[in-house]
Amino acid sequence: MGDYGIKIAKSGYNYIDGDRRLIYNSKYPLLKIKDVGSGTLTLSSHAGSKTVYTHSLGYTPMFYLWISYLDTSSGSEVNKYRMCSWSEYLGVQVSSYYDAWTTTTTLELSVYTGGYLYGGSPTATLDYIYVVFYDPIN
Amino acid sequence: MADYGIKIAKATKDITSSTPSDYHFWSKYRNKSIKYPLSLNVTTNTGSNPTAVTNSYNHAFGYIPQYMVFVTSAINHGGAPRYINCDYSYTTSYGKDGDNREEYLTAYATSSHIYVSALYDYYTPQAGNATGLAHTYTFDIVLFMEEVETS
Repeated sequence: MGDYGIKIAKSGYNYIDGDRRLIYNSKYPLLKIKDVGSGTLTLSSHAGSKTVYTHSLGYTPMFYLWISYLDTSSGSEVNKYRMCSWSEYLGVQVSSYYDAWTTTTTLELSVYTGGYLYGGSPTATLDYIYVVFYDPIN
Repeated sequence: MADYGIKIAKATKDITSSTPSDYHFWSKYRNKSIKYPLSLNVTTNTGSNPTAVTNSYNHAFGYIPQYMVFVTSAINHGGAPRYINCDYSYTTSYGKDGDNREEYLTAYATSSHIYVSALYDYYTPQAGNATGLAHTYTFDIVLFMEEVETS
């Protein structure tokens, strides 16, 4: 009984063609979504932070968080979503930050746009979307 | 055999639904399967104008897997270190002498390895260089069975 379980191959491939050709292999656990959601973050003085979600899992789970951002030329919101965390160098050793991280109970979001450098709105509202998984990262 | 496979519908959803989000699992669509979780440590370089230190793991999958990498920052950003997902960089505000600290935490994968790297230093404009700060980062990594490229 050394090799048993379920394997589902991609169309055009055989289950013995290796993991990269599989859609599913019961040997490996699937990510399990605890919750998905969206919201807004209103900036004050070009920055803002908030607790996005309280998962109360007692450990740090995997997650994704995407957020809209401010265009460094116009200072207006770009309604496209970038995955956190990311940063962008703005000049004179100032960068913008769009950071997301987990604690054992919450998913946190913090943004600093550095907008004063380029005239970005100090009170812009950004949109975000998140996915929190049950699966721990470690 | 035009329609076959495995479907597991969410509670209150019907198995005849054609909406993928109505399912916990549908063998027609790709998922994310945790193939190999691991951790890698990186201790940053000290000295003048340090370079990033890289550590890697030979996963030997033979293809570039999707992955997630999380690490705790060294700098107290917003009052506490952050357990963030890579890639990540942060530079502190100027000190009174124009000095600051910066850290860069990155990750990438090839068909054989997952690489993580860290750079953490203290920059002083008077000296015109950066001094490496010693810190050991633990990168928590999940390698998924699914590859980056579609094929």
